[in-house]
Parts: sequence; C-alpha cells; structure tokens
Amino acid sequence: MRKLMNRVAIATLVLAALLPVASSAQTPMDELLRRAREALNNLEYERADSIARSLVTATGPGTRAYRTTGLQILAAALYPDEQWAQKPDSARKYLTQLVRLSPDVSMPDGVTWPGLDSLLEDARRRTFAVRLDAAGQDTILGVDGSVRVRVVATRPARFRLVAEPIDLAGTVVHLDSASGRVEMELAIPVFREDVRLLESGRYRLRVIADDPVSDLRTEDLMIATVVAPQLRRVSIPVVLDSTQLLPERSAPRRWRNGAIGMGLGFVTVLAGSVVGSSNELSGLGGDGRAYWMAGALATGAVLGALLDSGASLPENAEYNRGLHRGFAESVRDAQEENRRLRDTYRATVRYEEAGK
Amino acid sequence: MMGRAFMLGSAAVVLACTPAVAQRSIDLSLHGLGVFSRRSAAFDGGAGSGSGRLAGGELLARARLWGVSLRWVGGEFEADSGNAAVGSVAEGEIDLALGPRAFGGIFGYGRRSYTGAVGTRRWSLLRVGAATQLPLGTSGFRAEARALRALTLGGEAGGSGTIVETRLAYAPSHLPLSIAVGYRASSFSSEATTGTRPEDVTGPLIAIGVRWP
Repeated sequence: MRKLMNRVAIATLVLAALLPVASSAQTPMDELLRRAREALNNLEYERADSIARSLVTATGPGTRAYRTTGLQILAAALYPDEQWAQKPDSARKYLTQLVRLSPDVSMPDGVTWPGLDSLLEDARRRTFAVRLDAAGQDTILGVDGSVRVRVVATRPARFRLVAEPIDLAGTVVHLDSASGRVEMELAIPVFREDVRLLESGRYRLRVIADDPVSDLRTEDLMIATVVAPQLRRVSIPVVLDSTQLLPERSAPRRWRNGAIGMGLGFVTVLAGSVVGSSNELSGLGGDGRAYWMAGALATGAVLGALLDSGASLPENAEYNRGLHRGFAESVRDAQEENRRLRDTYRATVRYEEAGK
Repeated sequence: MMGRAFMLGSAAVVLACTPAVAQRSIDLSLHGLGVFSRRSAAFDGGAGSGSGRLAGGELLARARLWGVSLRWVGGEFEADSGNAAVGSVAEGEIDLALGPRAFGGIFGYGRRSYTGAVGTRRWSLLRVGAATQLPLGTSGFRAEARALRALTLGGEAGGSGTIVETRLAYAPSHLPLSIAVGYRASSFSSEATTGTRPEDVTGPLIAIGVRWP
C-alpha cells in the first residue's frame, strides 16, 4: 500500500515538473523524467538515481523546474523508507543543492516520509540560500510605479536587489532593499524621484542576501529584459517673456513739469509787478514779496515735478495681468500634461532564468 | 450779510454736486483762505500803504469741462505809511469756469466793499478771465493760475480792476487733504466824486482744506 502511494506521488511530481512545458512537445528532459518516474515506481532506486542525476546537471531554459524535480527524485531515491536502500550522506548533499535551488522547497506528500522531511529540514537549517522568484512578464504603470518580485531565503536576511546591465554601458543600479523576514517582496522601478534608473535592455537581476547573524552572504540571479520607452515631457515655461509686458506707468515728464513750475513763477512775478503798479501808487513801490513767492512757487513746482513717477496706465496693467494669467494657465496645462504622461507611462520587464 | 449769502451759496453748490461727487466725476474742495495782504491806495491826493490779513474761505467744484467756485475774503488793514490804505476790505465772488482744466474761461459775479475814511462803499462786478490748472505729473502737485478783469456793474463806488492769482496746490492721493500756497494781486480803480481812487491789494495766500473724493 505504501509503495502504491509512493508511485502515485511520484507520478504527480513528474506531472508537476512537466506543467511549465505542458503545451509544448515532449523534450529529452521530459523523457528523462518519465524514465526516472518508471525507475522509482519499480523501486529501481539506483536507476532512478542515475537518471535523476542527468536531470540535475541539465542546463537550458526552464531547467530550474527540472532540476528541482530531479533533485527531489534523487533525494527520494537515495533516502527511501526502505532502510537497505538509504544513503543519508548522499541524500543530504542533494537536499542541500535542492535547498540552494529553492529555499522554501518541501518534499511532495506521498514521496516523503518523516525521515526524509527531517533530512530536508536539517539541510535547510545548515544552508543559507536565497531565491529570486519571478516569471513571465510584468508591466510597470506610471513613472512612480514598479513591479514586485518575491525573494525567499532559508532564514531571515537583509535583501538587496540590483540590476547589472548586460548589453548596455552603465553601472550597477540599486533597485530596492528590505530586511527582517524569510520571504519578502522587492520593487523594480524604472524611475526613482523622476531620475531614470533603467534604460531599455537586458539586465542581470541579482538579489543579495546577508545573514546578519552569521555574516554569510548568498545571492540569486535572473535575467530581465526591460522595455522602458523614453518618458515624454512637455517643457514647462519658467518665466514670462518680459518683452511682451507693456509699461504700466508712463514715463515721467519732468522737463515739461519743471517748465510749468518755472512758468508759474514767472506769472507770479508778473502779478506782483504788473498788476500792482498803477501810476498813482508807483511812489509806494511794488510788493517785493511777489519775487520771493515766485521763487518759492517755482522751486516747489520743480521739486514736485521731480517727484513725478509717471501716470499709471490701467489698460496696460490689465493687459499685463492677462499675460500673467495666460502664463500661469500655460504652466498649469504643461504640468497637467506632464502629470498625465507620467501616469500613463508603461514599461515591461520580462524575466528569464539565469541558471545557478 | 455777504458772508451769509456766500455760505448759503456754498451749501447749495455742495448739495447740487453731491451725486456727481459720489460718482467721482466732480472734484469738490473746501478751503480756509488766508491772504497776507499789503494794500496800497491813493485818496484825495495822498497815497499810503497798509498791511492786513484777509481771511475767508472757498468752495471749488470742478468737473471735466466746467467748474464753479465760491470765494469770500475780508479783513482790516492797518497803516504802514499814510492813512489812505487804512480800513477794511471784503470781497465775495462766484465764478463759472468753462472749458478743460488746462485752459478755460471764467465768467462770474462779485461784490466788493471797503470801509475807510469815506465810510463804506459797495459795488458789484462782472468778472471775465481765464484760468489754467496743470498737474505736475503724478506728484500730487498742481500749478494753477488765473487772471480776471473785473468790470463794475454799478454801486456806491463803481470801480473796475484786474485780479491775478497763482497757486501751487498739493493734494496727496491717500488723504482727503488739499493745500495750496500762492500769490494774489488785485488792482482796482474806483471812481468817486473826489476823483479816481487806485487801490492795489497784493500778498501771499495760503489755502488749507478738505477735498472729495
């Protein structure tokens, strides 16, 4: 009965490993999985071991899933319930590899048994590993937007996510960091505070995990292809073109006003000397104060003329106010358009396995 | 009597102008007036001069193309030399200005009286002349000048004359205040049974008051 359950579980395991490529035709890897399954079902542990090893050493796209399944079969083959077939040291070695490949992995129900689970937990406890978990394609919406990728480690750690340009010139870009838990999500933004972080191109996404207790460091890689078009911006006018403004005061007419003041003095002299001088009274002399007053009035008028700052021109002031209003409106429109362009900005990130 | 008439006239002008003042189409000002006068007069073969301070008031209403002014002054003269100029003088006038402020005609009516050695003489005058008000930019200062010919309309001692007055007025834009200093000269020649009696009254003037708006 137990063996029957083992067989059903292994069949399920193989089926799960095939799922990512289910829509495609059978590959040599699928054939290897099928043969490993048969061997395990027939309790041919050594044969299953041999086939699973070739799965584990395989490289190429989608091999992480094959390798994970291969390592699970390998561990199950090396540490079965049957005591005579158990090879705990070898099983522990492959379980360590399994944990490195997938830190939160567990053995499928049915395949595992308490001894194998204990061995896996022991391997997990002894191994510091991290995995960057992302697949397919994500879309970043808006300049302030980002996509999040899951990182998982075998123990709480400090995580840093960086992008290293592959085809592009440039330096390593720090994308995000977080700490404190076994499993976290880190962000991949294209912009940070309006400064572009990622251009279109291929990047090596590297998550670096530091264990603050043991000072150990480990990392995981993925390849990310970023398609990030240029952000269109409408230029925002900075200052109003002052040459468009009209003068709001007329030029002071100081010469004219000064001449009026002098004329006022002259008329005052005339008033004193001409009006007050009839023949019968000529012996009494004129009123000399007229000259003083003429001087005072002329001086006062000239000083007043110097205070002239020009007349206000309300039509021009209204025109200028209209220009300022229009300028403010154009600034608002440009800002609004830029906000819209920022909000509708789209970038995509496509993930590929980088192998380990 | 004359003072009361002019006060009543002033009140009438103020009331008539009130709606236009409210609409800011008329400038209205009320001044106290002082003229530090010197009076020179000849009488009965003798001539003399005297000093006196004429005091009074004026009410001015000016629209764009017309204006009305009421003025009244009076005062005593004490002898500086001789006795011909001793006495009191009182003048009252109402003028209608027509034309723009820069240059307009003046048509008016005046009453003049003096009291001296020969008693009190009063007569009426027709006043005709020209006036100008020229603002000195936006400084609040304004140059004003007017010259009138006063023609006798008859009375106890009819006499014609000439009046010239200049002013430098200041009206700050932020205060309802109006100040003016100037010079006023008038020359009259009165006909009397004893012959022609020439008379000059000249002197600096000062006007301080309020204005609307």
